[in-house]
Amino acid sequence: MPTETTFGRRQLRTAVQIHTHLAGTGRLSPLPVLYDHEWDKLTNSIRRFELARNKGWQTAADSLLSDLDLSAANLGRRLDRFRIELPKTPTPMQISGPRDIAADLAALEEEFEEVDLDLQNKKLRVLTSPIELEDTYLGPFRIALHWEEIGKGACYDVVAEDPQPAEGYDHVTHPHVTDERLCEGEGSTAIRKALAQGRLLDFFTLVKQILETYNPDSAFVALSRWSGARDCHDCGSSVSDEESYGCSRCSESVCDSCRNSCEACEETLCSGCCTPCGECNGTLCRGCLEFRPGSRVLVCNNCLEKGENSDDDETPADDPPGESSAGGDGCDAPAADSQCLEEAAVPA
Amino acid sequence: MKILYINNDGGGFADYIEVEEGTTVRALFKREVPHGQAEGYLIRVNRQPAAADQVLQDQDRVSFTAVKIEGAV
Repeated sequence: MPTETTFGRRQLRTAVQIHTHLAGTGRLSPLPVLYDHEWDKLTNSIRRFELARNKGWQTAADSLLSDLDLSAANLGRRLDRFRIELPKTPTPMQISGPRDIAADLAALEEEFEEVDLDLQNKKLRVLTSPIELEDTYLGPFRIALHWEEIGKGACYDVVAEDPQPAEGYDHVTHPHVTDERLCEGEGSTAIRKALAQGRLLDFFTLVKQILETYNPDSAFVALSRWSGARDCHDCGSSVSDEESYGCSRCSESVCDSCRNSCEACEETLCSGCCTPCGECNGTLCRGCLEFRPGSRVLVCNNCLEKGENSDDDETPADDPPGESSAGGDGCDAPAADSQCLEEAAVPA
Repeated sequence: MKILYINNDGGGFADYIEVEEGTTVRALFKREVPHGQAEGYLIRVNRQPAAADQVLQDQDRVSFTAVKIEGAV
């Protein structure tokens, strides 16, 4: 038999209030949670894609198409899960009695650093131990449950007591907490059910376990952002400051694997700023390439010099760049970005 | 005998179930979470951490909560 416990008057009064509220919300099982993040993300990507399409921005449209694919897949997974968790029939639900709720309140005292019952504001707050994920200190969190809001929507906050926000994201104090809202992920339905049944110890434990778990695949902000890391512009992997290299052309950061160097000036380049020589195919920055006089081909200095030495048998192009019509149909030379084209040494 | 069994995995489950007299926490875990590893769960009996060989009593409240629960965006 459960151990008999002496409950404080305050705990009992709180338990009675919570039970009264829960009993008034109906006794049918709640539906699984269907968040609208995925839907919002998909419609947002669609809007951005339509804008890029209307403007004729090919590169942006390509990139957004990948976003659309990912967002649609995420939404599909969410709907599948919703269907799996949907009850077959509306089933009556057992709600904890005041005595069980009071026992939960007593157990919270042992489970958390602090427990605060605020009868006036109908709030129950607990304080977790300091949370540390993969050696990153995030500090303790206060989980505040507003019991009169149970069953009506967002009924609890997760507030960082010693906020350690991600770099550049002041409102993100944990990879899965933004604006004091926890994104519950795998725990969403269990949390909803625990709250609806008045199993407060289970509710607070579930929230704590989510706070103590890092899901790198679905974080508001990757944990690496807490240590000043950045994303590689080319492959998207997270790299620390020491392991990242700045592209000398566009200043974007790249990781060691994606880093390129100009074969002439040896400056670091991201993949977007690498331009192959039109003749030897060497990797160069746009500043180290020149149009071969009388042609549209961008070549490196070596090839240019070689070409000058055996220039007699070259056939000049019909339409040198300086004489081409504005915005022409593109040159045969490898794609160079607008910044590079502005700097191109176009022969007079 | 009857116990209140709570499994906080996935959709969550909390209801009274029948178990045989002398059932241990380990046996219940094996029966209810056949593919789970006990180390990956907070196992409590009457809200207190329980030993694997603890024998369950009538009306006990047993809960299994995963240690790692992945949040998401």
